[in-house]
Amino acid sequence: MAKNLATDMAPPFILVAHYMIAGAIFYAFTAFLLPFYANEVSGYFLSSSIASLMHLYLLGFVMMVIFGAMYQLVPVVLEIPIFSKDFAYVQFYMFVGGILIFTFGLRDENYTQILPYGAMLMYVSILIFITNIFLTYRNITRWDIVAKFILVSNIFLTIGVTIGFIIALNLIYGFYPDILDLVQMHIATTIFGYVIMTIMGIGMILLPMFSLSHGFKQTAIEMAFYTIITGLVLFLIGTFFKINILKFGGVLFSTIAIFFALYQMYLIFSTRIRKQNDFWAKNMMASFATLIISFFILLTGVITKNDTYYLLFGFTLFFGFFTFFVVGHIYKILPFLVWYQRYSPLVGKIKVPMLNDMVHEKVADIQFWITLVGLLLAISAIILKIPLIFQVGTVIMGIGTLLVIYNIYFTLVYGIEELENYNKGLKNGGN
Amino acid sequence: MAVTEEMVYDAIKTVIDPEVGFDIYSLGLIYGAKVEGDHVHVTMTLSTRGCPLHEMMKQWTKEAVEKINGINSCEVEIVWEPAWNVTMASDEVKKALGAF
Repeated sequence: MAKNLATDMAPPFILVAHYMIAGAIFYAFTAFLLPFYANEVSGYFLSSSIASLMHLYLLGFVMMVIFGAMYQLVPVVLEIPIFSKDFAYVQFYMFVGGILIFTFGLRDENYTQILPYGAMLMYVSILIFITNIFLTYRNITRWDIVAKFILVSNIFLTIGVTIGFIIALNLIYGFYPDILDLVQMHIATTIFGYVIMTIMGIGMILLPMFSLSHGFKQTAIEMAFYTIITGLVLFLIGTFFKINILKFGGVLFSTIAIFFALYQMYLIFSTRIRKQNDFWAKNMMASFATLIISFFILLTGVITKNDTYYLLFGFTLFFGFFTFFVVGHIYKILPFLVWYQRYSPLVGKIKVPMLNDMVHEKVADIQFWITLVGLLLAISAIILKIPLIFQVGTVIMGIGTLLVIYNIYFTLVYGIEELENYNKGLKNGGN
Repeated sequence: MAVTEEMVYDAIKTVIDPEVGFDIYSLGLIYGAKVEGDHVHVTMTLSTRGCPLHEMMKQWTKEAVEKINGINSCEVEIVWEPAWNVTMASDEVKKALGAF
């Protein structure tokens, strides 16, 4: 049997599926909680309950899916096997436990004493992931832009989670007075340094692959790479040493980097051969549109110095950009994993389905529009400070989440009955 | 009867890319096939370098060619130059993808 970078060298299907399914459960959990935050839409953006929800969503859904996808994609993209599959299993269970304990401790002030334990579990689990990636890089031979993005994003993740762990300890023991500085550095390194840099890097593989784009230049993404590193380093130094001009320069460079990356995505989309606007393409367009909108909201916040815009920026970035990008790729990655497991041994023996057949297209389409409408309502509610509209919007978004869960289930059980009948036929001597 | 390149291409047409939904010959991924007695050397590419189907496509092509009567072995070589583009695909594929 052929050695397959995508499957033999990467952790098996069942491990990646662990991450995907856990991500979906955390996504549903967040969607269920979101309407209960209606009265906080006019509140201070750094309340511990909002921080708890944001961590639940970012770690439980966004980063969970990214970690699973990275285990699948790194061997394929870098053409080297993952250093340790066992590390990936250990990381998963520690990560899930850590998220539950940490977010519960952060949410409920009666249980803050458990917070450091959850933070410790999460911190160690993410360090296991980072170590696994760094050790995988020992054998790398191809240093393209994607490899550089993955490496640097993991360096920022190391810094980000270390700061995060210090913040968690500081919440209990109070040894560092400028917690806001630490929070800003934590947000910059984890969200921009890790999540957004990873999306930029992996996007350079995923977007051309699914849209069949060719012949575009990569200058813009290379500019984005160096600009975002400059921006983040300036921001970290400026924040730590309280040098406002450096901090401002950091924000400016990071924003320019985002627009370089967006221009690269535009170049990819403008050269795409697959013109159909299927559920994946719609999700991608919505994700990039919400990313642009979120930065205009951030800019408004900086100009007006109004905290509501920071809350709105976070909400649009998390529940707009991240949601559409991650959901769009779940619809692509999960069918591939199930298809490989279930159908690849049967190629040439029976008629195998196409990957798109394994997603319920109509449900995916309805889910996309429902999520978009719900998001727009929730954004309007934050601007207008009307909790009822926020509740309606987030409940509609929750329905969208349930449809995503249905489609994940649809993919996971796709063709099981048909294959059981095929296997029965083989046992009975058929062909 | 000696195996011809056309017979090899016909066999390769049974290999479908499950992501795009077309056979890999019509997609223009096959750059050449050389028949030397009972051995075939196929040169092909993939639409994307980081394609997770990389090794599977190679294996399916090999298996499809080895099913031809008179062929004992097939070697499949993946090349990246020239890079694939849609002009290499058949008109039917171009039309279906909306590339016209």
